[in-house]
Amino acid sequence: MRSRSVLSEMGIEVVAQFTCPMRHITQTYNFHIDTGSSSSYLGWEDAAKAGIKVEELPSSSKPIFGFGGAADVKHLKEPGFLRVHFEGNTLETVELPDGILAYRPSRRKTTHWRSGPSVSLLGRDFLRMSGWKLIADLPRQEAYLERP
Amino acid sequence: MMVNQSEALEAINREQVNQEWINKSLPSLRRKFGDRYIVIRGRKVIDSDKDFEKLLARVRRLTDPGSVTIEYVTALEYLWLL
Repeated sequence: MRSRSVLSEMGIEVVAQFTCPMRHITQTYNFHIDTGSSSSYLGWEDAAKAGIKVEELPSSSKPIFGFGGAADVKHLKEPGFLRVHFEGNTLETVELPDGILAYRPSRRKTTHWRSGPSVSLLGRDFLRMSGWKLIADLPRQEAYLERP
Repeated sequence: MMVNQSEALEAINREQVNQEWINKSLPSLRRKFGDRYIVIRGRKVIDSDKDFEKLLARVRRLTDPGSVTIEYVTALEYLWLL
């Protein structure tokens, strides 16, 4: 069973619905699959869309190290769920028992390097917790998540 | 609150259609809305602003704010490093 991904100039994208019952949040987001990221993140704009005040969340207990510059990282600690559309109009749910991180990129500007708007990411934790495979066949312009 | 399956599928499909439309329309979106946030509903840009928070405040006043996609469009085509 597969879930089709979208290939954009930013990479491989998956639309998923994020739910956090304790905060009464249900919001559909376009996530970028990032196998270089150990964790999944909500970008601050996406978090704001759901009414989350990122600046009021507790800071992440672990510091973040990345190529994209510094980021202010907060932790939405309440458990959440991600629902993904698979073939045959089925929805599969992945539980996020430790919630999700939310980040705001640094506002520092340099020549030829621009800190853009934040993007929401599904990292390796999501791939591990879901048990799904990520298949990327870029010569054929195809990418999808595959459920065993 | 978790919505029911058909509502979730509808929301996911709507977002996916909007995202695919954005990807296909990027050259013209860049010319018209470069370096702005845009609001898309039903494959049409219904609002835009350079300031995300001002735009979000207007989106919240829509009758169905959950039915729109908000996306940032860069004026230039960049190399991306996530």
